[in-house]
Amino acid sequence: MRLTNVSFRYTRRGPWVLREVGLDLRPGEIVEVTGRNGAGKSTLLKMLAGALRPTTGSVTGRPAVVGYAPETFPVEQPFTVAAYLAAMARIRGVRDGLGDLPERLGMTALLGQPLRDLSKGSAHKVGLAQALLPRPGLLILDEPFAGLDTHTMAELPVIIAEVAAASGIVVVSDHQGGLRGVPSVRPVSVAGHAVAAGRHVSTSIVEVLVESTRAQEVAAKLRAEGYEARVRGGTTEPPPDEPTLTTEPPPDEPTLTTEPAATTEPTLTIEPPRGGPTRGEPPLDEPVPTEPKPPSQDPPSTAAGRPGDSYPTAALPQAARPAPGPSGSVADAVREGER
Amino acid sequence: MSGRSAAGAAIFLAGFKLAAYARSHRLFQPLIGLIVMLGIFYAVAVPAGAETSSYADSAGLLIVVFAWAARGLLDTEPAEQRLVSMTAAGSAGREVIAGLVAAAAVNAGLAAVAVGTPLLYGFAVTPGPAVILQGAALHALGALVGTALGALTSRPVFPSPATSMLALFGGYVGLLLLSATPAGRVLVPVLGWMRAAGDGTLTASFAAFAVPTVLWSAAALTAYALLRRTRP
Repeated sequence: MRLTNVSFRYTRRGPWVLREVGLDLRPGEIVEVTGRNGAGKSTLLKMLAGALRPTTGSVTGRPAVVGYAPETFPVEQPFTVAAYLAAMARIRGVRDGLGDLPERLGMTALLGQPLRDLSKGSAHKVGLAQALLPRPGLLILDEPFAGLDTHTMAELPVIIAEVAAASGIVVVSDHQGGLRGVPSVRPVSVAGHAVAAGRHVSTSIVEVLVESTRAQEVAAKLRAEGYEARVRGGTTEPPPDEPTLTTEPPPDEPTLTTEPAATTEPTLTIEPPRGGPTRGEPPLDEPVPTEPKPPSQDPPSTAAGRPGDSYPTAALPQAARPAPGPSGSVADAVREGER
Repeated sequence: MSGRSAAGAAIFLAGFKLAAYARSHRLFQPLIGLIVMLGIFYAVAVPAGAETSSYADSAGLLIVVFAWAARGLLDTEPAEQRLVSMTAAGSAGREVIAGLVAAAAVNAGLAAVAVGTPLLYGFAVTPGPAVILQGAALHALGALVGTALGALTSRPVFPSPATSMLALFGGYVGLLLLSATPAGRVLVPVLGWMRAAGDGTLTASFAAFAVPTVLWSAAALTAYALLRRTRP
């Protein structure tokens, strides 16, 4: 499948969402589309799915059977899960039923429920099931891991790998890091109206200190901005005495590992959206939002964290390859941020 | 196993849209509007010989009900479901066609009610087959215009419900007013076919009304399909 000089805008005089995009997708390939919110990821996915036509350029070689799971499955439909999936199967001409999808996606108990009654995670499973029904040659998943339970979170990468193994093309937009365990994922970043394929995306971890009671709120705000943010629990191992900064140049780009002050409090880990900021792009150099610290409380020390500190810490991995370091909140965060 | 022909996928998708429309009870809105208007049309029994004129008025005035029904059907599916339907049907074009087919099917049913009701209650004397055929043809034209107008005012084109309703009713009033002008002859000559039915010249001039109506509807539906290319 090939995109050749594809440009797109929604209205004749509107701003360009994508410009001069060229992209080759090969059978059996798993592609992870990354980029900040509003960068054009969903537009690219819709174009790949055939729901949008390029304003200029061409999309050729699209497989005949396309499965598309939207970021938010529309539950405002007057069907039960089973009736909905049966209707989708009829439209697609699928004759062998749902197969083992309900079991694998952990949705057997949902089949008799009305779509309107589903929780966000359950609705998401229905969206995934309808996309996987026809054994697609092109599977497009928009934030497929959002809201999934642990079982489905673990099973979905296996299913994705199976689709790829059957020579299907899988394109995934993922802010949740659900593809970390899947080998041979090809990153494609969308930024500045352009699509960069196969680039190794440099990432960073920014450590943000907030009051424990506000950690979830801050994390939610950062997620809304398109960052990966995790609030981490306290560490049990003694932290390093001083923050250290280690730079270990990988074969193609430098790696920055940050090991700031350790803490025994929860840690908020923020990662930039995958493929959003890449090395050398201005957005990465922008100041990272930090919560102001109330003067009445002890500020987080840059030295060793103290038990009882009420400031969680967060870390930002700067590059793809963290240096080995002592186990601890920041070191772990760096490893989790590894690409 | 999977795989379905283009026509088969569009037909099954149209069925899915009709099922969603019926289960959502959105059909009641235009149906109630239709019943109210038929009640007004036939509150007084239509005397013998005036059936064609009565049918012509009904077909012209019910365009707004047909448009309302088409818009309601096309708005039943959430935006994300339309994207899913496009991939399920195999292409964006099939989803658009399926929606229009479903809307046309609903309007065909409403038009059948509009043609059949006065035969049971409304006409003083049951007219001959020729008059009933003329009535059916006029309502088919009205349903076609209504389907096109409803499509052009549906959510993908007008995301705001208020703007959409304004466009629907404004568009219908505009069509009526324009049909009173010379330009109406090449648009949708609603008032023209009403007058011709009253004059008894409808049969002779039917093509002069049908051709521009069909052409206008085709142009409107083409515009809708083109707009949907960037408004999935």
